[in-house]
Amino acid sequence: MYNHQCTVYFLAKEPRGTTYESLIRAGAVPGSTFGLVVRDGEVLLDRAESLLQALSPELIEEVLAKEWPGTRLLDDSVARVLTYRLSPQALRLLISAARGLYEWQHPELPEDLFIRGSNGRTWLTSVAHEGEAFLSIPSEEAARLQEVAPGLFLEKGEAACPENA
Amino acid sequence: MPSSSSLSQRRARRGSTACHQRRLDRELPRRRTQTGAPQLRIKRTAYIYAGQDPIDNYDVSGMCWTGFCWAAHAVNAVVDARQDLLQWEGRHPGLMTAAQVAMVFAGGRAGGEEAAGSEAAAASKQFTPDQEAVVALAKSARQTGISRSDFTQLKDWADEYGVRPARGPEIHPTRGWARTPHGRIGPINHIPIK
Repeated sequence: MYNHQCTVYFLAKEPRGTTYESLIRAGAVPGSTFGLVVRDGEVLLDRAESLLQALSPELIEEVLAKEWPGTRLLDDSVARVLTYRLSPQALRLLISAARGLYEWQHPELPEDLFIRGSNGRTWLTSVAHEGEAFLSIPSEEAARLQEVAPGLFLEKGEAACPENA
Repeated sequence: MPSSSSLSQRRARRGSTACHQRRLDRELPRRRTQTGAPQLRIKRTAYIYAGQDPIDNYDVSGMCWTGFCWAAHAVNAVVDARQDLLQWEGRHPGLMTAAQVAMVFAGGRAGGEEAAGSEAAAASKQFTPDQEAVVALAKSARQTGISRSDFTQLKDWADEYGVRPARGPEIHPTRGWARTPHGRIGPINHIPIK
């Protein structure tokens, strides 16, 4: 899946507060989707279960997978990868559920928030427990994004990308 | 034959003053343990009677140096009760009553449910001996690396003894060291898997 190098913009610092909100809002274009991961065998807190319940009307698909943007499992375990419509309601829930991008970790929340554009390409990839995230965007969009979210520290770099990035 | 002189007489010969006093003999070499500016915060310590400085201070009355030890002891009692409560909650999650939550609040943390929850979570992070053994093995594996079969065994033990999370091997193929297989057992992350 991760078969070629592509130019991405790493988030040099965790987007938190208004920067996190601006980032999520920027990804919420019509037709965009987002995904969350629930690891096998993990017990989630009520807060996480409530969020998943609240998001359920926007659920597009739920699959058991060994791979999602940013992570690949090498053992025989699988994770639930849930994909949702990034509707205004879902946007509100994403913003209110966390104050920072790397708060998306078990057991408080589902893990590894990712956002896909309307073309199906991954726009935001995050590995919350590693404190790492990047945007697969062209340079013009990066410049525009830094205007709307001045607290976003973008660092241009190369990353192994999936086919659809 | 032991001397028949009284304790106070022997002390008087050595330069001390009276019984029940603690006197610093300044001729003895001593290492000062206090460094930097004096701390204003009340610390949980056995040396409240001497103003937290048992090297340089002594309590004339044998009771208290500042005269306000009763306040410090009261604070200590509250802190101890709060710690006991949180440890109890850690052992019996979900059984904390409203009164007990109020006691936790009285410990000085604002923020409602979040504060009580975080304290309880901190207390629950105290491992049992079995869990400690698993975490110790994970620490060792983090330094030396571990084979995949051994990691699977370690993960099984983590599951068995309730050490969370237990995950891996996995990779984050995007960049850096995380491209190599690694795992996590409880608080020990980035265990290299050979």
